[in-house]
Formats: sequence, C-alpha cells, structure tokens
Amino acid sequence: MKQLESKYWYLKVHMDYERKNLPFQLTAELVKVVIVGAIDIMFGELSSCLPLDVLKFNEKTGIVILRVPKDNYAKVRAALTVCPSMRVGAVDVPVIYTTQQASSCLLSLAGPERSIV
Amino acid sequence: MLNPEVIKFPAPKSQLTYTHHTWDDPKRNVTWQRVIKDHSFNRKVVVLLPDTPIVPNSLSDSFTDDAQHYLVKNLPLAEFCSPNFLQAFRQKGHFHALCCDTRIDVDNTAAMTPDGYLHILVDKFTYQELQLHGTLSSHILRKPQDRYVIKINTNEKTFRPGKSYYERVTSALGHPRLKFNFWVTWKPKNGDICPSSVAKYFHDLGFVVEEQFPDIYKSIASEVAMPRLDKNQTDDGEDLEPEDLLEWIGCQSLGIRLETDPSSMCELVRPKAYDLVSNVNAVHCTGFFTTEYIVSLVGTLRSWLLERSPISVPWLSVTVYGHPDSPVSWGHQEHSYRSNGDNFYTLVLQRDGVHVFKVFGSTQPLRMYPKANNNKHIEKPVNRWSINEKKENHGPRYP
Repeated sequence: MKQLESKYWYLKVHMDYERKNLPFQLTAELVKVVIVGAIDIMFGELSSCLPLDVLKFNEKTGIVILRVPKDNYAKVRAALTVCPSMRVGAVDVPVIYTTQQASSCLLSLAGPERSIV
Repeated sequence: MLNPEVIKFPAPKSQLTYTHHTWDDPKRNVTWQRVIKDHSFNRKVVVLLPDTPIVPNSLSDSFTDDAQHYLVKNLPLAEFCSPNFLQAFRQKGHFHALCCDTRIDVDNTAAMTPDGYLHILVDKFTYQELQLHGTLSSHILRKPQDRYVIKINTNEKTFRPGKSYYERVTSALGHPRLKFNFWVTWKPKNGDICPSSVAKYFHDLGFVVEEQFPDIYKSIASEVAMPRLDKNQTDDGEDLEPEDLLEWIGCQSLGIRLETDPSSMCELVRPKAYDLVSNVNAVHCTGFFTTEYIVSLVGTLRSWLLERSPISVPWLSVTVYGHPDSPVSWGHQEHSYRSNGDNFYTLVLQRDGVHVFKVFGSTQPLRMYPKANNNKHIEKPVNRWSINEKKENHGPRYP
C-alpha cells in the first residue's frame, strides 16, 4: 500500500444571511470575492492572494464547497469563523459562515454527517 | 504565552493509502477483500455508474436486498454479555452493533464487532466507577487524561456465569450511564434462520425496536468526461495521479461540473486524457450494512461491468463510508475525530484489475495546549567572538 499526501483541503461551508439585505443575487464569483475579503481582513493581503477555488455554490441552500491548499486550511477556516459581515456592492451584509465538514479528501464531503451537530 | 506561532498553521494530517492490482493476482488478491472484511461498520455506499439513465432491476435489487437494520433504544451493555444472546447470535452468525447518536470525542460510546469484542470508550469518571481494565485512548486527548478504551472479549473461556471475571464485568456494565441507542444487524451463517430474529429477541426482552431500511438517492449528470485509466493510449505522456482520480470521483458524487478551462473562480478542470460518457448515475445508499452485503454488492457490480461494452462503461467506482463516530475503523484500530471522522475506502473496478484507496484520519493525539515555539524557525545569530575560544594557530613563529 502506497502512502499518498493530499495537496488540498476541502471545506463545506454554509452561509447564513438575509436575502433581502443584498442589492443583487450572489453568484459563485461573488462568493469567492467575499471569502477572499474575509481572509484579507484577518490575515492581510499576502494570505488573501493564496489560491482558493469555489467548486460549487448552491444559491437556495447557501452551501459552498471550497478547495484550498493544505497549508492555508487553518487560516481560511479561522477567517470564516470570525468574519461578521460581507461587503457586497458598498453594502455590509451580516453573514454567519458555518463549516459543516472539512477534509483532505473531497469524497468524504459526500459521506455521512455526524448524528448530533 | 511567549513566542506564539504566527506564520505556520499546518493542517491536521490524514492518511491516504493506495494500491492497484489485478483480480487474479493470487498473493495480493487478499488486499481488497481484507479491506472490505475488516471494516465492520458501514454506514453509506456511493456507486458511480456510467451510461445508466435508469438503474436496472438486478442492480437496484442488490442495493435493497437483505439490507434492513434495527434501531434498539436504551439498551444496556450488559445485554451483550448474557449467555443466551452469545449462544444464539454471536456464535451462529455475524453480529454488528453500533451506538447511533453519540460523539466519540465527548460522549461515552460502545460498539460490538463480529469477532465478539465489545469496544467501550468512556470518560475518566465513568472509567473510575466501572473499575474494569482499560487503556488510555491513543488518539484522543492524552493530557489531561480523559478518554479510556475498554475491550471485552466475549469469546474467552472465563466469560461464563459463575466465573468471577464474568460477574465483575456484568455488574460493571449495569452502570446507569451505559445505556445507548444501538443500530443492530445480524447475518446468520445458516440460511434458514431469518435475520429478524435478533429484533424479536430484543423486543421480547422489552426494548423498543424499530426496523429501518436503506435510504436511496440518485443523481444523474448528462455529459461527463471520465478520466482514462488505461496506460496504453497516452498521447500526451501524462499519467493521471491517483489523488486526482479520487478528486474526480468526489466531484461526481457531489454533483460538481468541471469545465474545460480554468477560470478565476475555479482551477479544477477536466482531466487531460478523458472519454466522454453520457448519463453518469451516482447512487447514494444510507443505512447500516454488513461486510457480507458489500462483498455481494461488489460481486454483482463486477458481473454487470463485464456485460457492458468497454466504450460506454470504461470503469465504475464504489465508495463505502464508515460512521464518523464509530470507536473502531479497521479491525481493532481506534478511530479518532479531529476535524472530520473520515474512515472510508474506494474501489475503482475495471475489467482487469482494481484500484483500492483507503482514507482514515490522523493518528496523532490532540493537544490541549499548543506547543511553544521557542524561536525554532528564527536563526540564532552566529557569535563570532567567544571568550573561551582558542587562539588561532598562525603557523610557526618566525624565529
């Protein structure tokens, strides 16, 4: 059996916000801008330039699947936990990011969730 | 705290092992069967079937046949030690039991594997009250010492009523905190006995028993680029890395569409060597499955694969997930929950061979207090002048 090292970590994040506060609807590109802004506030510009991919964004449920390199995982998760609001079109919309699942393997995000959260 | 770390925040380590061998390899054929057999508690199965707009009856029957499990509420652990139970169920078939609504890092939890071992994970107070022999958990918090693992072997000859060890164990397991809701499933060795007799046994003892069936969810993606796994057609000379294959299977299970070119939003693209396949069906079954169920499912899928043409169905994949809060993962290996409760394996079935991926979480113990930095990454300045340095030898002095 060969031991492999995964280069990326994957996060499944739930975004909780009031839809009526937004001037326009969120798209996946806008979600990336908003999350990079959250990392920028906490860790500065150098960390916000690190690669971050938005793999899937479901507008109705508010679930985002992100892919980050292994070394940035702790920073991204910490920045999302403390971020109070997102800046969209010159309006600050309060938002709560909840990381539901995080793993080094994308396949485990499709797996069973914990019985009690 | 002096010198806190402000630059490097490493992610928790997780283990991913990979192997690839043909079906007929006699020495190593044991590997994929051992991975399936040792993984006692299987919670969810995800199968990727290419070119299948509607799942045929032979396959959908194999998902639901013999797959019922029972939820027994408020069952005390001492019931697993009674000689009637052991003789009727443990010795005459494969019995699996797992706590369904506890978390391994904070609550007490228990499970019974088919080989007759009862695994109990308790906190410090309960462990001291039980007074049974156990060890400190190797994966969960070690300082302060809080989680203890107790393993009871019900196969031993001294485990019978009348012996002192048995009396001690049963009186300890009658502790009021050791009552849990269990998922229970039993597969008898003799085909004549009905598997639901285990539910009848617990119902007759007065416990609430519910029968549950697997939950099946299907999703279809229309035009998908499947990565090519055969190595004889490499034009670009680029081989697919096994981690990229696993990532691709993950994308299909979650319903993520991959584009051809990287965009500013997402850099994950289609694999370079690919076959266009239509109607990839992802079937998700959630339930509580025995190892025999998985073995027969893999056999059915292999024969289905041989019936289809290699162009429309190049390969298919089966992913089997364990419960994120189970005390053991493979065999008697302890399972831990750090940022995730991964313990799953993926089999990529081809006509001539199989790729086996095994994923489980970190085996390093957690720390309550972060390790001090001690200026390790900052270079200490070199001291050029030291008082006790010996004088340099300039060679023989000029006479």
